[in-house]
Parts: sequence; C-alpha cells; structure tokens
Amino acid sequence: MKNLPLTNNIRKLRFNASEMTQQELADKLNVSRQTIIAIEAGKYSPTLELAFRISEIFKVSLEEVFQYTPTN
Amino acid sequence: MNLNKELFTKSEFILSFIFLGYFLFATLQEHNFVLLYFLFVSTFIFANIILVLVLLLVTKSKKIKFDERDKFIETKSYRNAYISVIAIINIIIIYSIFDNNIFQPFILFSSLFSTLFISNIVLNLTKIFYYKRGV
Repeated sequence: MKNLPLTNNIRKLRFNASEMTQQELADKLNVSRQTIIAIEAGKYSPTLELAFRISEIFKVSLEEVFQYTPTN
Repeated sequence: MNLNKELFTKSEFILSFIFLGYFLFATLQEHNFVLLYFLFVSTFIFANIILVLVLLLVTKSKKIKFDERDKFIETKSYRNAYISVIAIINIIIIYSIFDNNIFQPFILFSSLFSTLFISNIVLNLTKIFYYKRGV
C-alpha cells in the first residue's frame, strides 16, 4: 500500500459529529463511500477543494483535519 | 447505495481478456480479410452488449457516483493505455524492418485490433491497481 505524507482525523471527527457514518459524509460531499474510505486509510490525498469542504462540514480548520508529515 | 467501481473495472477487464482470446483464436483459424473484419465488428458489438446487460443487471437499484478520485485514476489509466498502444505500434514498425510479411493486410489488421484489445486490458489493469493501492 502507498504511504502518503498526509494524515487525517476524519474518523475521530466523524464520531464526534454524532457518529456520522462514512456514507453520510460521502453524501454530504457528493463523493462515493470508497473515496471516503481511501482518504481515511491514507490511500488517497483529496484535492484542496474537497479538503476544504470536509473541514467546512465538521466546522473545524483545515489543519485540524489534515496533517502533513514529510517523508524522506 | 453506491456501487464499487472496482467491480465494473474487473468485469470489463475479464470481458476484454476473454474477447481478446476469442478474437485471436478465431483469426488464427481463418485467414480471410472480410471474415476478420466481420469477426472484429461482431466481437466488439457482442462484448458491448454483454457489458451493458451486466451493468444493467448489477445497477438495477443502485446509482454510481463518479468523483474526483475516479477521474484521477481514469486519467492515469488512459495514459498507460496510450503508452501501451504507442509501444506496440513501435514494436510492429521495428519488427517490419526484419520481416516484410507483416505488411500483409490480414496481419496488419489483426495486429491493430489486438493492440486495441491489449490497450483496453492495460487500461482496466491500471484502474484495478490504483483502486487497490491508492493514488
């Protein structure tokens, strides 16, 4: 599996947001559930637009959702 | 409910693989130009009818979402398919230097059609790879 330098707290934020399911989040973002699964697993780095939309849904800043850890 | 696009890619891959085999087997049996053209057209139409029927059966009550990740994977897959087409055409051109028999219409057409099938297989294989590994 590909290791991306981007980590995220989407799973934690979903549970804090009254245990929102992956499907509910996908419907709100108008993407497929597979895309949410891939983002959560760190297999896909979303576009800036999608990243901002995720942070907007959870009403937090972008840095609270995504963290960048550079790899050598 | 969303359906996994991996399933579609896999079914398309298997179908294109089966039809490449069928096409090659049929063309090796008969060295007739008109029959070859008929075989290609019939194979193409038959493959697409089966694919549409399978998709209709699977997606009866489900909708498919095509988002940015799918677009990204598709772009990479088409790039690889394009590279494979160019590579095969180059191989055919280089091979023609050593063997002039390749310029016979039958061989040229069958290699062109096989190239299209192979590029489709490469396209679907790349898609499966990126869906599994991630982009």
